[in-house]
Amino acid sequence: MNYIILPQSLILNHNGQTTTINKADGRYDRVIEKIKEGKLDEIIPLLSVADALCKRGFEVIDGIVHVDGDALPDSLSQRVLDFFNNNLPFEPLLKFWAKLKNNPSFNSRQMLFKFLEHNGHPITTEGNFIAYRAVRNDFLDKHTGKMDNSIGNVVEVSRSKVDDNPNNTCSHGLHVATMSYAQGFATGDDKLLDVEVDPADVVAVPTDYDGTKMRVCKFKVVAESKGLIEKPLVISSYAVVLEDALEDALEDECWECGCEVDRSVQNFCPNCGGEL
Amino acid sequence: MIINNTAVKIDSNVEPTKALNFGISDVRLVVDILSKLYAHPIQTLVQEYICNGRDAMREAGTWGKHPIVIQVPNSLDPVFKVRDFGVGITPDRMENVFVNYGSSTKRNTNTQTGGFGIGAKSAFSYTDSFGVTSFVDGVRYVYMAHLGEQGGVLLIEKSATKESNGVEISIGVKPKDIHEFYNAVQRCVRFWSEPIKFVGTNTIVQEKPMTTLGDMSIYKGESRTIFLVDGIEYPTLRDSESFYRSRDYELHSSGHVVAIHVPNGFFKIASSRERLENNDDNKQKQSSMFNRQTKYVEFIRDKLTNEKETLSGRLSTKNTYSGLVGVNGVVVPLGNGLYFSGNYLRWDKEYFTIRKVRRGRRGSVHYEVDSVDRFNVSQVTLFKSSEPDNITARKLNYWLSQRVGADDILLSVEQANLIPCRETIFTKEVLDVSTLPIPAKATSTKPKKTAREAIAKRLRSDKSVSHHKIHDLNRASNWVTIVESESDIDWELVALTTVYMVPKQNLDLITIPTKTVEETKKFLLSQNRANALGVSYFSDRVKQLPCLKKFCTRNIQSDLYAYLVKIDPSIKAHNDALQKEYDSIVAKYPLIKVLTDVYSKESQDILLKEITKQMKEDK
Repeated sequence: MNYIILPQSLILNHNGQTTTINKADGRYDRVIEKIKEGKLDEIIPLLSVADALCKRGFEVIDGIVHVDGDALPDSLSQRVLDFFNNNLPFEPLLKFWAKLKNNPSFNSRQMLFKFLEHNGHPITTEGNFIAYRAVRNDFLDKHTGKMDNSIGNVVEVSRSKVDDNPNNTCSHGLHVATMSYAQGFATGDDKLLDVEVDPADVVAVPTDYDGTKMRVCKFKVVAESKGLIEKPLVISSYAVVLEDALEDALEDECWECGCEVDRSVQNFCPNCGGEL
Repeated sequence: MIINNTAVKIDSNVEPTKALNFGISDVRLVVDILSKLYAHPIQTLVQEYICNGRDAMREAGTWGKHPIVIQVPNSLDPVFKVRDFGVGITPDRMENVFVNYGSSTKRNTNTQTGGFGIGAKSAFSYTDSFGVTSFVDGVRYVYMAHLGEQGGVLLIEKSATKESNGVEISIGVKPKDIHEFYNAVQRCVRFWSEPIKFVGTNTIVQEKPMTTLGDMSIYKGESRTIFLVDGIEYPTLRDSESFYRSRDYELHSSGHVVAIHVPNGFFKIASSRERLENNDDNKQKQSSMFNRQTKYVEFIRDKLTNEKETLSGRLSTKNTYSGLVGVNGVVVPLGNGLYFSGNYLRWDKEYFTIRKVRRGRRGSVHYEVDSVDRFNVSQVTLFKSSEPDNITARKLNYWLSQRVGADDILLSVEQANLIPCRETIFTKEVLDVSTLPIPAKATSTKPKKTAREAIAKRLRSDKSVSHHKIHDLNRASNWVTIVESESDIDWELVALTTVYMVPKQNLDLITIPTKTVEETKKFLLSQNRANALGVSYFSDRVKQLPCLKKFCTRNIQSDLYAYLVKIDPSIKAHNDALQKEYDSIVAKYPLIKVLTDVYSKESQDILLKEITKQMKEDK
C-alpha cells in the first residue's frame, strides 16, 4: 500500500485502487493512526464500511445503502454510519424503516428525511424518533390550551384532521419541531418537551422553515427537555409503557392458572390454590 | 507584494516510478491565485472534471454510447469520483499536458469544453491532493497529484488491466460539503440527455425539456433565462440593457427555465468557467439571441392557422407546442392590447381581473387587478361609456360591488373581440354605463368601521369560532382568513361571513345569519343571492367560489363548496342542469370543446365560423 499524507488530505493506493480522504473525513485520523502503528494491513477495512454493513442486514449497491431492496436516503445512511461507528445495534433503524413504510404519504416520508438531517433527533429502540415541542407552563398546548401534554401522555388526533399540505406552513395538526424551532416558539416560562413520534404518524413537514417543524397526528411526551439529545439511540418510552402495562396486567392475574386475583387481599389463588 | 507561501513537507512511503513536477517554478503560488479565481470552487471543480470526462469520451467517440460514471459523495463514502471511458491519459500526455498549467489539447476545437489548461488541476482549489488513474490500452497508471513541497504528480503504479480506456479522478470530500457536491453535480448534468451512471445517489435528475423550438428549450423549474453552452448552464449577462428592453424579459419571468442552446466558442467564457465574460462582444451576441419571443409566438400561430384544413392537424399542432403556449411569458396577442399569456389573460402589461375600479387623482380610471386562473374567470362584461372617467369609475365600482364576490372582467367595447375562456363563451352582454345608478357619496366611514368591529367582536366571542384566528377584518379587502385550528371548523359561519363580508360598501347591512340550515337557506333566498352564488360559480369543473380563493387550501375551498351545496341543494341541481345542457350542446357540436382549448384568436374565429355554420345548417 502506498500513501501520501498531506495537511488537508491523504491519498492511498492499494492494488491500483486509489482512495483520497479529506482531513475532515472521520477515516483520516484512524488511517493515520494505523500508518503510525505500521499496521498497513488494517487500513483496508477502515476504508469501506460496505462489507461490514452487508453482514448486518444491509446491502450497499452503487454506493447507496439498501434495506430490503429499498435505497436509504443519505440522512438515514448517515445514521446507519453513526450506529456503526458507535457499535450500536441496527434493529432500531430497521424498525424505523419498517414503520416509515407504513406512512401512507410519499411526501411525508421524503420530507421526514429532511427533518432528520437536523441534529438532536435520535432514533428510539422501538424505531421511533425524538422531536421537541414547546407547551405552556401547565403542560397545556400553546394554541388551544386544551390538550394535556403532561409527561407520559399520548397526545393524538385523527389523521384526517391534520393538514397534509406541506405548503401550508401553519395549519391543523399537532406540531413537533427541532430544538431550535421549539426554543424559538417558546415564550416566557413555557416548557420544552421531548416527544417520541412514530414515523408512520408524520403527516406533513412544511416546506418553509427548512424542514424544522412537522405536523403529526400522534406523539408521546417523554420528558421535560434538558437540551438537545445528541446520542444517536435512546430507549423508547413506548416500550417502557408496554412493559409497565404488562407488569400491571400480570399483577392482576394468577401466574399459575391465569385467573383474576387481587393481590392486596389474597395470598393464594382461589382457583388453583397457588401462592400469589 | 509578499505572498504567504509555505512549503509543505510530506510524509510518504511512495517510491515513484517517475515523478513529474508541475511546469511552474512555484506551484503553490499558482494554486493560491487559482483558488481565488473561483467564486464557487466546488461547483467549478465538479464541472471541470465531468466536462473533462465528456471531452475525453467525445475524443474517443464513446460519448452518448457508454455512460460516464460519476460518484456523488455521500456519508458512506465522501469521495467525489469521475470515471470516463475516453482515450485515457498516456504518460506522454500526462507529462506534457496534464501537469502543465496552461497546456491544453482542446484549444483548437469547439467540440470540447476545455481549453484553458487549468481545469484538470482545479481540485487544488479545494484540497491538496487527488488521485488520477488512467487506463490506456491494457495498462493502468496510478498517479497521485499533490501539493506537498513543490507539488506534482507521482506515478506510483503501472500494471496490466482489462479495464476499458479512460480516466478516473478521485477527490476526498469534507463531510460538510457532501450536499454542496451533490448540488454541483445536479447543476452540471441537469440539462444533459446522454446516459450517466451515478454512484452514491439515485436522486440526481436529468431533465427533459417541456418543449423545444429550434435552439430554445423550455424546462420546468424556476423563472430564469439561461444559456446552455455545450450543456453547461450560464446565466445571462444581467447588466445588458438589451435583455430588459427585449420582450424576452417576460419569458424570463415565465415560471420556467428558458434555455437557449449556444455552441462552444460562441461566447467568451470567463477563465473561472463560472460565467460569461462581461464584455461588449458578448453583450452584442447576447442581444442577438434575444427578441425571440415574438418570433416563436408567430411561429406557433402560423402553425395553428396553417393547419386549419383539418381539425386533427390543428389539434396536434396545438398539442405539440402547448408546452410553450403554456409558458406564462409567451404571449399570444388577441388584439386591442389583450393577450393570452400562458394561462392568464393579460391586458397590456398587467394580468387582470378587475375587482375594483377607482378614480385616480386626476380623474383617470384605475383598475385594481388581480391575477386569476383563466378557468375561474366566469364572466366578461363589456361596457360602453360616454361619461367622464371619474363618473364611469364610480358607477362601475358600485355595479361591481353589487355583484357579490364575482370575478368580473370589465372591458370597454373597444376590446370586445375577445373570447377569454370557456366559462365566458355564452355570457356576453354590453353594459351601458349611462344607465347605471350612481351611488350616493358616503358621508362618513365611521358606521362601517363600527359594523366591522361588531362583526369581529361577535366572531371572536362566538364559542364555536373561538379557536379560529380571524385576521384582516379591518383591512380593505375584508376577507376572513383562517390560519390555524386544531378542531373542526365551523364551516357554516366561515362561509357566511366570507360571502357576506365581501362588499365593503354593504358592510353596515350585514348581519350574521342564524346557524340552522333552514334559516340560512331562507336568508340566502331572501337576499336573492343563492342564485348569484350558484349559477356562475359552482360548476363541477371549478368547484370553488371565486371569493373562496382567499382561503389557503383547496381542501377548505372544496369543503366550503360542499357546505354551501348542502345549504341549498338546488345550487347543485341547477349547476348539474347547466352542465347537462352544456354537455348536450357540446355533444352535438364537438367543435365547441375544441374552441375552449385553442388559444389564438385566429383559430377561435375559424372555429366559431364553423360552429355557427353548422348551427345554421341544423336550423
